[in-house]
Amino acid sequence: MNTALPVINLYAVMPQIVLVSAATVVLIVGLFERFRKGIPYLSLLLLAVSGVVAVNQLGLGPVPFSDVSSMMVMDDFGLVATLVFIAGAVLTVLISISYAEARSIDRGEYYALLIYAVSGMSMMAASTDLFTFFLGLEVLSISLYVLIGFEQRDAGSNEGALKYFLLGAFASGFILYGMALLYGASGSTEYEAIARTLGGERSDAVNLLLLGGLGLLLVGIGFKISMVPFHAWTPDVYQGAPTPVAAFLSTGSKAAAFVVLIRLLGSVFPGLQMEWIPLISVLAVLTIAVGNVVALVQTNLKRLLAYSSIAHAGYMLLPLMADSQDGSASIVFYLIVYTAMNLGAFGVLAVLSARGAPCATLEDLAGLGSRRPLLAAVMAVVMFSLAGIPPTAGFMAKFYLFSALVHGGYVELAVIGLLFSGVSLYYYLRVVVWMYMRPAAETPAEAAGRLSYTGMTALCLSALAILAVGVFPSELLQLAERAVMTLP
Amino acid sequence: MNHMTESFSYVWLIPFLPLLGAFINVFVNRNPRVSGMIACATVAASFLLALGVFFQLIGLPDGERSVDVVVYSWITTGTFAVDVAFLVDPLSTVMMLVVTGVGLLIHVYSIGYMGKDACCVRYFSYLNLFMFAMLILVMGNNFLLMFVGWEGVGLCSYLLIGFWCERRSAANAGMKAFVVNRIGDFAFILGLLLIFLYAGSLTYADVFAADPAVLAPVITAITLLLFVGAMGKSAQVPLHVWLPDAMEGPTPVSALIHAATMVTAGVYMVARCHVLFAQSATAMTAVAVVGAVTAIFAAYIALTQYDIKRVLAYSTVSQLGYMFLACGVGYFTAGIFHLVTHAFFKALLFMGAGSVIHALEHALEKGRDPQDLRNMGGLRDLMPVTYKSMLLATLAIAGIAPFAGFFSKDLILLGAFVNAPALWLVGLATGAMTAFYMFRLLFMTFGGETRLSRDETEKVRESSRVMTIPLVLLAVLSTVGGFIGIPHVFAAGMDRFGGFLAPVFSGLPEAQVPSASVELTLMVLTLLLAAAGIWGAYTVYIRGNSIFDRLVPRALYTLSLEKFYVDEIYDTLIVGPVRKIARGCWRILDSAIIDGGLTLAALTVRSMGNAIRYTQTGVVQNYALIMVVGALVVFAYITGFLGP
Amino acid sequence: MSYLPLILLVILVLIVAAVIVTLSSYIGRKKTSASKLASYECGVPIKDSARKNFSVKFYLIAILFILFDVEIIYLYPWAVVYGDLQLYGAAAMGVFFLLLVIGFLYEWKRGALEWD
Repeated sequence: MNTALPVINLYAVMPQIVLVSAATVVLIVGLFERFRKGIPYLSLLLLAVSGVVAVNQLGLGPVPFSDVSSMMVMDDFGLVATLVFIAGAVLTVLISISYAEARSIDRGEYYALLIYAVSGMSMMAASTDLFTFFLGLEVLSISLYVLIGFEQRDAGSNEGALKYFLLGAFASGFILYGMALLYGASGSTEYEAIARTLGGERSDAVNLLLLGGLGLLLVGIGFKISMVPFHAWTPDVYQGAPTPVAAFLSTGSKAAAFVVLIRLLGSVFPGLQMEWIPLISVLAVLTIAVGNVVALVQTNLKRLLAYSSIAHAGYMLLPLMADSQDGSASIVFYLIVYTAMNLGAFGVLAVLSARGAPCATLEDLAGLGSRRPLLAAVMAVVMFSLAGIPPTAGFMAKFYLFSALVHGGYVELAVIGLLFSGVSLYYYLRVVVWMYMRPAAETPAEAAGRLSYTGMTALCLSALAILAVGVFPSELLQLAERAVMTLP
Repeated sequence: MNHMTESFSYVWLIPFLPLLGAFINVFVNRNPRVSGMIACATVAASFLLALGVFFQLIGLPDGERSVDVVVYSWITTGTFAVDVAFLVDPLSTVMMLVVTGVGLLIHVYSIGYMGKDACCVRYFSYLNLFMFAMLILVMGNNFLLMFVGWEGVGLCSYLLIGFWCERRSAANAGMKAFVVNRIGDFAFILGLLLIFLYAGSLTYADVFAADPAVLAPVITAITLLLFVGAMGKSAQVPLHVWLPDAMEGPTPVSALIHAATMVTAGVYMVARCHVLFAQSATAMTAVAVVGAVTAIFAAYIALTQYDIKRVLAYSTVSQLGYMFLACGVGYFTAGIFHLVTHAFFKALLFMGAGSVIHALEHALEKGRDPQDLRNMGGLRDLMPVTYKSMLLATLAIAGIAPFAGFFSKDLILLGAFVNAPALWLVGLATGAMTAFYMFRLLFMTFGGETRLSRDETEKVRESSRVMTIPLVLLAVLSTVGGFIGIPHVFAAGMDRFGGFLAPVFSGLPEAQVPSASVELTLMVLTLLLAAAGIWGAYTVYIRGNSIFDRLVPRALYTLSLEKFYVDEIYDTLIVGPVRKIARGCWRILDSAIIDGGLTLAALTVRSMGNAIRYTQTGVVQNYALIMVVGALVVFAYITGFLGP
Repeated sequence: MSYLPLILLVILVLIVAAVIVTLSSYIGRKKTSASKLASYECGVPIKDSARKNFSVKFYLIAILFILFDVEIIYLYPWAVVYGDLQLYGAAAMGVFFLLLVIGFLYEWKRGALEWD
């Protein structure tokens, strides 16, 4: 017997290799107690190295991983997504340092799992095959299950981990089943092969399998991006998870799922647009509506941000309908901005509640404007940006998103989105009002003393980035446009 | 062209350094002592860079002295593209130098004047922010950027007028400035919209190069709307009412914003758009007439005011009128020239007044107004530096040769004489009145017997060095600043200023020049009238001659003292009714319909939120159930069991 | 259609199983005693309830065992074609084992293998 060996190109998966190695190194070094303090900084360094590797590959064009079945591809889309994930992870590490130290969860595993999660997301972004997609998804999910429950002594953390694990496993089941149906229809797990099957003549039975497969995939991915009605876990899990992990969860894992969604819907399933466009539009509107409306009545900040993140997922679903480069670019742009905004918002909470009682409710923010002016200013910028008020990046992101939608001919969806965006002003500005216009409680919940320098650095960076992108959006938009150019 | 753009690529630093200063003062710096240093250092750096731009520019041949420096592509959607780009040409360079140069001196002066104020960090960050907005206004290469600066300076002006916002009058004055400016801004926006609709671009180069035939149907509307905008910003009659009230702000602010820079933005804008204005004779006439009327109107009011800053404020309005008169008769160079010299001597006058007020604030007994001319007098020996520099500035504004104001005012009057003799007469009369009221101010402040008590006199001190040095520097400029534009009749080819600006205004028809003898006669006439004004002031306020009391009817005096009752008329005719209508709208429309509707909507949405919240049980089995049901629906829908 | 026999077989098996279980529960004689109802523990007398907590260490060891056990499965197909894969195969398996060994070292150092 003579086996034909595939020609594989390790260079194409270099960012993923570097990320996995980085996580492993952090894991090993974390075993030694004497390096404990240095672990976060080592993680930052290794993340930066992976970032450099990814940057160096930008613009080198699509390079498949192997010749037989490509499995993964190195293209600008995946690389830009990877860079966003890495940036998100860097910010997460920065806001984690004091939080994790104060709660004695600053073990090597914490940071190692974070980087493993990034490697999984990066795999998802680069995958061109259902297998690698699922592999990446599970690497991500399993890391997150552990990270959410990392505060072992905290009941909420355990509860969140269990809920996310049970429902996540459930969602994985849907995805696997969907994949099985797609495989049954096309005889392959490659995106290209599935797209070929869709493109050619197909019997009704095959069509049914394809549709069913797509539907189940949407359910599973919908779970990850907390699309209504698969969103129920979101507030409970965000509330329970350690705050930096919640930040990471609300940005990174959501962004990864969106990246896959763009690739799948844009390059694999355009043939089924007649079926999925109405479905996604209804679900998107529902997601926007439920997220914004329920957020109105929240007093717990993490739950408020959870519903806000549901609403934002809804906005980001909309341009998928436009089915244009502009639409995809606007999602990528939005994802980048959203990562900065949400990490900022959760980061403020993380930094505030690093020591002492967790900062959980609106009341805890009362008087923050005079107590911690810089932190309050960051939070205000983030809230304005989430609400989409110029001159913040959030405004520009919404502007491009809705203009892509209008260009695609979905004016009514844009109007609905904008209306609910107006509703959202209420709860975002309420945070600002509490910070600046309510007197502080007699004894503030958070501990006195200086705030973590690293955390503040991360927060100021994101606030500055939000403002900078709000005023000078062109470069970032060009990056997003370049990223989606490589999509077929 | 490309290498030139690159050699000017640093110009973006000129506006952004003050912005950086403002940023540092807002977010980083907590130390009041350092805040002034930061503000001054950034403005000084900007000034040096502006000087660099100037010398680089005069090194270029005439035809190439207009460079667009694109810093950043700001908004690009479809066909609409706006760049953050700066225009470096003689006009913008002159403005840069004036703004940063005079601005720098006023910043330094502010350290002495405001350094002890509790909120001086806030003060300096506003001041730096103003510099940023003003520089954006004069440096932008398109109308949108100009508009950003336009609104920015308006905002800073509002913030700084109301700087002592615990004083009710200051807060009200800020509001008044804002509202009145809004009227002008509204017209300005409409003008910009028309330009964009007809010219298809907002970039100066495109708009000014547009075919006159394309713009012809709306050119008068555009220019008049732009001019209304300028009237608001530059306090021209009838939108002048905010400027005298703006004196509630700190005095250095009055010097910087309400005398030297911001209020001249309207003049700059008209000069910048001279290509458009030249296409509409109606608009040119309107500019000239409004300018002339404002000049004499404000000068007339200034004759009788007792508040030292109000006299100067009306004087500013009057001088701005001169500048518009110059633009209106096509002498744009003269308008800009007067803008520059006026920046020197009026900033100096305000800062001198500030120095006096500062001294009297500490000296006068409680309840005595340190700004009232009737509480001054005889300060000449007590505050020698302030007195001498203010004397020079007063000579300059009165138009006495060879001080700075003489040359610029002379050029304006020459233009008026050639193109609109009636307006020339108005200008001439204004000149005499200017000399009168300015020397009245000087005599009442520094001359004659003091009206301070002995105790008070002992407490009066000359201001500190940090305040007097800027005064001296400006006094030098007020004295010799006019020599940059020596009229042709004295020395051919010595009009350096006109020569420098010539490329900007090269598209205009050649100005008619009367014969040398006529020009000299006009000058002598102007000087004689100014001397007459000074003599009148001397007779009344030093000699104590009451000749005017006997000659002038009481009514004319009251009319001036009460400022023609403009504020009262506005209150009855406009503010009152508008308030009533607004109140009515608020009661019926807002409270009942809109608020009611909103409340209803909010309640509905909230109750929906509460309802959905109940699905959030926290039990993981329920969540799984919701997921399964959802998945079934999705599956059923997409495979066609439901719907299409 | 080719799956029809399979479906028939499944149905047949279900029916037979159901019938047998049902019949035996109805027809069979039931003579119960304490020792008969007790759970079967290799013929040793029962000492305690089976529903009691075991130390988590048992689970840990069990899970670790399963992990490594499953990984070993990959060795079988690899070994079959090892001749064809040559150096490439050795390298790939080397990486695989490196990761496995790192995992092993990790659990060792973390103390998962120590009983106390």
